[in-house]
Amino acid sequence: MYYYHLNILIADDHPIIRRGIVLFLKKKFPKATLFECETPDEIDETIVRNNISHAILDVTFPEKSTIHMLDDIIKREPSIQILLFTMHPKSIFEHTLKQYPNVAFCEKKEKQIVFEKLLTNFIQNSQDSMQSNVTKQENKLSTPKLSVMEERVLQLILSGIPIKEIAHKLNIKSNTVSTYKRRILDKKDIDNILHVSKIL
Amino acid sequence: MGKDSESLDSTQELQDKIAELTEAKDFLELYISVINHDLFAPIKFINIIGDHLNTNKFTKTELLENFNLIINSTKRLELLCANLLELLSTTNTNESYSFEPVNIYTLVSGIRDFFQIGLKSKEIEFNNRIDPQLCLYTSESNLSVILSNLISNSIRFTQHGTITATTIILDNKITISISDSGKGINTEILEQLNNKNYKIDHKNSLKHRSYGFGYNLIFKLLPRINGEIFIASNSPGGTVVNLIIPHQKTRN
Repeated sequence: MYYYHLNILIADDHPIIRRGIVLFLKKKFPKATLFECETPDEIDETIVRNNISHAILDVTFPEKSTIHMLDDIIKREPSIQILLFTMHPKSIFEHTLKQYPNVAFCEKKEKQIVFEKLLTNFIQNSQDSMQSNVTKQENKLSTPKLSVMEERVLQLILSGIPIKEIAHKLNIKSNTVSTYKRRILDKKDIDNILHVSKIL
Repeated sequence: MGKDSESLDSTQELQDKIAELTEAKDFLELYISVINHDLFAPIKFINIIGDHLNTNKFTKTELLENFNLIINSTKRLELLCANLLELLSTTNTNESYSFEPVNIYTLVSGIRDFFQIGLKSKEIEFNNRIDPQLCLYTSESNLSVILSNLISNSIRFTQHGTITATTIILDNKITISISDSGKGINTEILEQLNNKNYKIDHKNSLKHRSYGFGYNLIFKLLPRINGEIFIASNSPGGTVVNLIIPHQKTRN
């Protein structure tokens, strides 16, 4: 069963800015668990430990820019939703926003009412989209069950083991592993085997 | 020969002018960046917090915690405004600054009192171990801004720890040390701070902000008091900053 969680990380080197966001989120999303980070190193650590669903990131820290951390964060938590919350104008981030579909933008200069609306939309829309993914995934679970052998192949693929090694481990040919892989994709109605992990 | 010499002089003048304008442009970019990140954004969020405190219910403890945070932030903003004004005044090369007898112990105590709430809320013990009799001729306003920034940085990176101010006199030089037991400074930034030739690329502020505005100002003010600064990691944790200035007991 897939359980949806709302673990929100707020990263900014100014405590007063973090507090402003925290007060708003506590009121709007009382069930959310909030984590605060003051430095980029703390962001890494918090994401690893706390299954973060949403990250509100300031861009410019004295140590480094969080833009350079996006790749690693998304690799580690592919379903994470990120909001770049910065004083820099949106035009600077056009390339980044195109590159990462789960990254949104909000300028700190926005009026309070506007930024609170954007923040709400960021959490709610991604929440809706995640909920809708859960529904889709639940529907997919009602699709044909995998055979024992397909399950074993799938587990090995998801562990990152190459096809050749899987074939060796299961004492079957590489072509046969590929056939199992194709069947898994067909049964789960997905294009990429890695997407299976999200519905298990 | 005469024409060549004149031409060399004008080339040199032009190069000096370009260097001067480049520096002015760099500082303008720095001002804009600081006003945006460290002034505008925090003020905006103080207003937002004020709005929340005004319209929602909070316990007495929560209210006190939020008020303390606001006071801490406004103290930093006050220091930042003082820094901006000091930095603007450094651009006026004709302005003279006077050396006067300064009691270091009293100066540091005053700075400690200014940050009292921040120290209390972060549970930091401040030890002023400077000789109360120690007095030297220097520019009080410049030294005060430098020490305020150093102590402010220590408070920022320390939680449940200690900050200690000490002095050592050696070879007609006085070393004022501000050490803390905080989380310390990133190695890359430490190297930049100790490299006198390092120049921040303000145009590439997206990359990172490097060290803060406070250190920029400190480096600008140090020549005024004939000072030098060395920053190192403190053992077992934290940072120690040594400010070395001539131990001038009388007016020259």
